[in-house]
Amino acid sequence: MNAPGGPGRPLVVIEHLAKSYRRGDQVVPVLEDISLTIPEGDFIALMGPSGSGKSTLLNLIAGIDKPDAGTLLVDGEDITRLGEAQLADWRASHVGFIFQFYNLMPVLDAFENVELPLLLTSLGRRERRERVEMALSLVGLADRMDHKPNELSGGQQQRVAIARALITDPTIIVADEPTGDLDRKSAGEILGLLQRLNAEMGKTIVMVTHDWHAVESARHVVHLEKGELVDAQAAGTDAGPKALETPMNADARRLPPIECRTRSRKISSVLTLARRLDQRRPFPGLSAAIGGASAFIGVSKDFRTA
Amino acid sequence: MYYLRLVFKNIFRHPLRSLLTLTGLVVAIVAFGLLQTVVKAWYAGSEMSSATRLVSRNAVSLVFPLPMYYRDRIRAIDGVTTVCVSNWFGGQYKGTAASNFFPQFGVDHETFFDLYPEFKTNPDELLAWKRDRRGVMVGRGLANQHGFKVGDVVPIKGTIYPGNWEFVVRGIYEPKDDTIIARQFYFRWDYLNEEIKKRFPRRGDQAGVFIVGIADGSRAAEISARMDSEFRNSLAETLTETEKAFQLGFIAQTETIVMAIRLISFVVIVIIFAVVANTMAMTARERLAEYATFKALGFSPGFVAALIFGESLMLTALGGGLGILATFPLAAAVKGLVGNIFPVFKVSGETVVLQAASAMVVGALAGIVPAIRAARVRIVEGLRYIG
Ligand SMILES: Nc1ncnc2c1ncn2[C@@H]1O[C@H](COP(=O)(O)OP(=O)(O)OP(=O)(O)O)[C@@H](O)[C@H]1O
Ligand SMILES: [Mg+2]
Repeated sequence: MNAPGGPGRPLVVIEHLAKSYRRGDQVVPVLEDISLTIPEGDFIALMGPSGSGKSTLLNLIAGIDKPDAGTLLVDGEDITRLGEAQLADWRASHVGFIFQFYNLMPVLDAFENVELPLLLTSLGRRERRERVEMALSLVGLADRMDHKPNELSGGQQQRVAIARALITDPTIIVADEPTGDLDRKSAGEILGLLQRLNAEMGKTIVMVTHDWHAVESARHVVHLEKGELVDAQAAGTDAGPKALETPMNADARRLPPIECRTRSRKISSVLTLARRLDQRRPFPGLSAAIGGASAFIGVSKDFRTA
Repeated sequence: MYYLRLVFKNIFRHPLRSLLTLTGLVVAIVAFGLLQTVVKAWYAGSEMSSATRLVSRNAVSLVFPLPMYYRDRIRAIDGVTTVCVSNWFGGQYKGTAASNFFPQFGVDHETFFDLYPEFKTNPDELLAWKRDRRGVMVGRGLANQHGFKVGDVVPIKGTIYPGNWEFVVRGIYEPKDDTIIARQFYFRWDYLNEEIKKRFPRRGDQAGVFIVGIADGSRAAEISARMDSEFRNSLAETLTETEKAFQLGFIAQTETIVMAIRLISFVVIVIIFAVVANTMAMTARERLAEYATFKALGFSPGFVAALIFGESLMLTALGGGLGILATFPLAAAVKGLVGNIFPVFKVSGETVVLQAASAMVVGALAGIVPAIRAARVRIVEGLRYIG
């Protein structure tokens, strides 16, 4: 497994992927013969004009839609062959979702929203609580756990959504215009968080965006035009291969690898990251949370999707 | 449990909508319960009839009497223990107002209360009645309504037997329990017959019906047949049936009203079903993006369906529960208004079960289609549903 902080072996391998929609008896091709490889640890910004099929491609990678043709391997597994129920299990353990409109459950508070994906695991109440508190500390919302979505700002809601997306330590995080509904400042915070998830935790992220500021956070940009990939290029100034040489990332590379990827796996990386972040840029409330969870880090438990 | 909390919280997401739907549910369940109680009250007279009592009447029609001497011949039939004559008097007390109506009968004073153990009498009063030819025994409910006391003289205006009649209250009998109607006015048949002979000589020695006590209720059919064959080809043939069948025969004449009431109570449930189904359909539609999110996160379609189905059931359980609770005080209030017409107006256990069952059936039916639809929603379509 590759060290966190830099792209490594191919994680997502897309070959000859095609997708069309049927409107009445008219077939509208959206994606035609897409081939793309996303290395582990990459942070990709998927760009392109409206209607070019960005969301469609992202949905296929995330396993919430099915292609008409082609293969889509994620971590060696061809997810196009999975049935509905298998795919649901696969998503639960491999994909973290971040949506433009956050998609939090309005009746649940921040804590419960983040806890939601863990209900599909065999983790006990106490372990769930520890993880959720940790994740919310990570996104700087330890003091807002009992707030309902409508009591939080857009930026805060998106941070709750990020906590929810990483709570199960997914293989890949997909984000469809995560800053599309946010002001510049909140968007900056969200992008900063995503960037750090990638750089410091080694999370592979695919993000659809229109925002050039967002692109700067990514390592690579992929352009989609009328259902075809135009080219893939290294992005912004503080991402890409060069970024690997920054002290932060060099340091991060020495950290122990994150164990994951199997149906029964360990989700210690959230905690590892928390510990690391604490040394660098502590979020409010994080230190306290770390104290309570330090014992926990050593005994990261196996868990399985229910 | 997480699921139940989620369902419960979802119910009150639109407080006004939930409140309106709940109000509708409560009203419907109460109305259903009260209408069922009316139907029950209608049949109360037949419910209280005994399996060991037969009623023998003129086979042509109830309006024709039977000769009095049949009494001894019936008594001689195997299995018969007691025979008691009963004549409907049909008089008016204080005018024709419906609220003053009560049934009056001339009965055999020697046997009547032995045949009706559900009426509890005071032995001294019973004896006093048996000694006074003009005496009358009145039910507790009737005595309370008109303030009748022992010793009171009650004037009755005859209609079937025209003229002014006077009876002296000799006793007040009590119902054994609250399912028993105690609003009758029982006076002595021998006094009635004596007066009739004086006033209308040709109408003497006639019986309206014979109430026949038998030792073994399981022989009712056989004994009835024996009695009717005894009088076959005589001047007045008899038709004998159990007291319950006899009472139901009366009700049969009002069967259409009962049918209408039953129909209305059913319609009420259908209407509330439409209301709840609409609420659930609206609710599920609004939350399509949420359900799609659940599914994206890996929750099964079954979980999503259970969220809606459970919400529908919980909503109707809540409304049904409140409705059932509200039925009791309301039934008591209604009884105050219609006690004369329905002496037994009591919410039965069966009615409560029916109320609960209809609430749950409404919940299940209203939830099933939205639940299936939401469970089936394609994730990408559901996610698009956001505004
Ligand atoms: N369910 C559907 N039925 C029919 N056509 C669809 C459906 N979903 C998407 N499309 C079409 O597919 C094309 C690509 O849609 P997609 O949402 O992937 O675009 P996008 O690149 O994400 O655009 P945007 O930047 O506006 O979000 C569009 O032309 C769209 O109209
Ligand atoms: Mg899109």
